[in-house]
Amino acid sequence: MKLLRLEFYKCRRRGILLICAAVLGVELAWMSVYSARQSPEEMRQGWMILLYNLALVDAIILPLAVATLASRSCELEHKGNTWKLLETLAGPGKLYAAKLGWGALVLAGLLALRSALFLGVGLRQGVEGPAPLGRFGLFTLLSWLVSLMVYALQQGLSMRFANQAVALVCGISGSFLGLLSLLFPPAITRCVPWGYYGLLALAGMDWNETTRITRFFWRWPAPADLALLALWGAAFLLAGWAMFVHKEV
Amino acid sequence: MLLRCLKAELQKCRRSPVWLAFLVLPVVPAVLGTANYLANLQALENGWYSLWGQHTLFSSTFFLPALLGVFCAWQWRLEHTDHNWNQFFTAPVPLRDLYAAKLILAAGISLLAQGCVGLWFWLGGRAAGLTGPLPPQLPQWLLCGAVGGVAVCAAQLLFSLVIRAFAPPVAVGLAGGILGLMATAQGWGYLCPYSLLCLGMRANNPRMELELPLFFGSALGYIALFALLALWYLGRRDSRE
Repeated sequence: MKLLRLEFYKCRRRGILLICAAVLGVELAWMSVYSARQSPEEMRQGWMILLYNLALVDAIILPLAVATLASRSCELEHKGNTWKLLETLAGPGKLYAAKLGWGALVLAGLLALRSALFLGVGLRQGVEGPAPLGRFGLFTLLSWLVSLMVYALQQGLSMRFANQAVALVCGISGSFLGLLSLLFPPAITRCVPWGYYGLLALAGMDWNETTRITRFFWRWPAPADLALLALWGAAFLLAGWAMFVHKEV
Repeated sequence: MLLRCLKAELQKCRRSPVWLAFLVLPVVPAVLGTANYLANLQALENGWYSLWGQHTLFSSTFFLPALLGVFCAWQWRLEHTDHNWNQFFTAPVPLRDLYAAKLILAAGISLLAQGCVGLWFWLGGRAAGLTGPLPPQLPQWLLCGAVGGVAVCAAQLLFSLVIRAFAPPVAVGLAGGILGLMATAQGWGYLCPYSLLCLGMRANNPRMELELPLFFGSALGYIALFALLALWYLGRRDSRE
């Protein structure tokens, strides 16, 4: 607990809030460009479109944003050469857990704020129908879980390699694959960790080839996908933990 | 003096695997673009030109700006670590040569990235069973893409110089790519440095149009602007970590 609190102290004045604000800003810009082009029929499916697009934007932006946050948190230890000092004070496993806990809390704050923001945007735009509060809550939880899985991967890389280029290149590939995986068949998407943003989206899109009408529909994530997500997360956690604990500092 | 600085920059890159990212990562969009092309053969009947559209669809907006951002961030990272600023500022060389060497190297990497894109495009086309010669305009697409890439590099070099950390400038690169996409969609592509990359490569541009004078004017203008800003900042900053 003390270690976790220290992580927050270490990240004072490191622009974490700025990164979170940038994520929100880009998402807001994206959504406002999209919603400016909406037709009235589309507005009737407004909440579905909103959640569908949020999942899409997540898949593009969050992989790199998560990589940036993880890199910010781990880079300072490399820069100050503090690993050796830290590990004489606390076990490496505990340090790893503290950093992960910090990331989980920051991401939870960011995503909760994001959902509240877009709920407000939807209400202000006068989207038809009652606001699906439960779905917004579930969406926040799901995107937090996926981000946590990606964070575990990025933290492992950022801790293992002092050169943050490795972790960032991985994050860029993630952003790119996350976007492209929306076009894959689901079987392949399941093999891409960043594809789960789109795979677990609560709204789906159905484009009819003959009538050329786009229809949106609600859907629930399959339990098997959730289990796979947990499996990915556990794999990244274990690999990152083992690499860090067994590293000579 | 510039030549010596360039040699020094090349020395710094020795045995660094950073070029590997540019050679290997364009494989992903190439494979996916080719697969997408093969899956939609009935809608895409323009052969090499359709394949080019599929290859560059996302890579030029999301992928390449961030990747160039990694390279630029990596170049300044060398100076940000281990008190290297002290050496940087006391080297008996004008600052503009030191900066120009970095920019020229980044331009070379931009060219290398486009070369890889072209190579994978050719291989992807062969794998997709496209016969016939490559489009004769391909070198022009790649060169214009490289020029757009230099504008992105100039912007990224400035961000990485001012922000003394690795990750945030790269995130700026991705955000810039997205904003560039929006600017292009609004028709303001020539006004945004990050749009120049996809404009030059003719991505999402089925008619393959480009207003060359406007494009080169904008690219050169932005390169000059960011270079001057970087030099101004270099002249004012101190060498503390």
